[in-house]
Amino acid sequence: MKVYIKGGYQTKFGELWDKSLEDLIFESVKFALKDANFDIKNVEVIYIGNMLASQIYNQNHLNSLVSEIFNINIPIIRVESACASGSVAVNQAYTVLKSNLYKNALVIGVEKMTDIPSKKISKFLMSAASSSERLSGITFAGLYALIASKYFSDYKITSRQLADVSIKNHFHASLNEKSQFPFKITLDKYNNSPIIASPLNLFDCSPISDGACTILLSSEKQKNSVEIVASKVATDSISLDKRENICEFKSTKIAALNSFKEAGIERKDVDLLEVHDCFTIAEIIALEDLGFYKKGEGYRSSKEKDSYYYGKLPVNTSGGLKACGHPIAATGVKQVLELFNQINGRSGKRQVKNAKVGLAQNIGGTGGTAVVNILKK
Amino acid sequence: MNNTIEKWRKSNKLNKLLNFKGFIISLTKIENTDANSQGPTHFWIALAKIENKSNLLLQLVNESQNPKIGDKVKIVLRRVKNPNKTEIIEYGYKFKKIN
Repeated sequence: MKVYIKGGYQTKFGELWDKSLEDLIFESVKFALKDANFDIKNVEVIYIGNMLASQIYNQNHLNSLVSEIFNINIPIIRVESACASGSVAVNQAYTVLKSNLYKNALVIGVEKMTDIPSKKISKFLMSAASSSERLSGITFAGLYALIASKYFSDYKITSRQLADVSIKNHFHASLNEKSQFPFKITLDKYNNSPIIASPLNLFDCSPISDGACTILLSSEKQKNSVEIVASKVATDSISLDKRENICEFKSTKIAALNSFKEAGIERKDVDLLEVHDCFTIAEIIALEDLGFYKKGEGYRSSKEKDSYYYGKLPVNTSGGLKACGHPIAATGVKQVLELFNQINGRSGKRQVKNAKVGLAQNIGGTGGTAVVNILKK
Repeated sequence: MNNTIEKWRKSNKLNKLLNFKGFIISLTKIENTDANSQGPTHFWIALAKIENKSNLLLQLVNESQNPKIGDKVKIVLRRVKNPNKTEIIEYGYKFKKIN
């Protein structure tokens, strides 16, 4: 059984003070169904990715919240896998359609984060880390800073190479009206931004964001459908200090290997990537873990401008998590929608020429979960 | 960790790694304190390779000046959080630089 994406919709990402969690869900579902020319009455199952509603709003049971919003009574399943919640939701919908249990599934990713102070958000996000990490007082910026610091030491790169990633993702975001930061940055601006956790500064870090994204999956093909040819999830230890090597994510390597095998394609067939750049160092490592660059050479992607939308292998044409924004569970769904739009030639100013195959990589925690989805026209 | 019993359970294991030595393999200076902390505006976290053990991620004690990768450290017991409503003072491991 083949699985196709029929359509989708992303809300604006950013500080959306006038929109509630329910508003974001409603908007993304309404316009995703419109895009797919599909009636909600024909949706058989919904997977909703969300990480923080229970902590921020004391709102568990999003399943019945969605039921109430749309006055439907179908199976609705909440999926939580930290920052990979959206991609795991896509994977679960893909799996259930692949097994022929249903023909049409909706995938929603939603997060509403800006109603509370950022320090509280940092604390809540640390629920995706281990208890010993939390006790140390470290934040996620700190965890990725430890990764960057070790990577700098082992592979002799500096913040200059991280700057290239940030500048490129902001450039792409400047071409994306749905992005949180639709503006370019200069090297001077990067260099003059405050350190968050050394060696990472403000422009190495993805922001706190509100937003939602919804896609419709179906086993029935229609015009503009794009096939999901592979979707794989892999996991690893929750604690960074339990890893043999913190300069790579084993979970990404496993998910990538299994995805390429399932899709029956090679890396040279891939036209563009959306990867998990929660921090700039993560994009460099992702490109290596996915097998597109040798270890220690992932920085070349942005330095040599291969990763620009007009380059040899465009990366994060949406602006990535860094500049498009990172409403946790919406991110994984947005990555897939970005590929869908690119493959259908409807990405406007940032359109990649002749895009036919796209790969999305989404991470939860510091690689405790990794998801790789591959789309093909 | 907010539960009193959980704190007690954890404290029973606190002698296991005390005084173990190792060296720093990665390091970061955190400029923003976490939501629970009333402590300093910045602090150091190190990932260290511990002798005959796997790696360990801990905060460095304040008196460890100018830490860098390769520095030797030992595991010491320190207060890790300020008392909350339960008035329990929570202790845990930290790294201390040694010569």
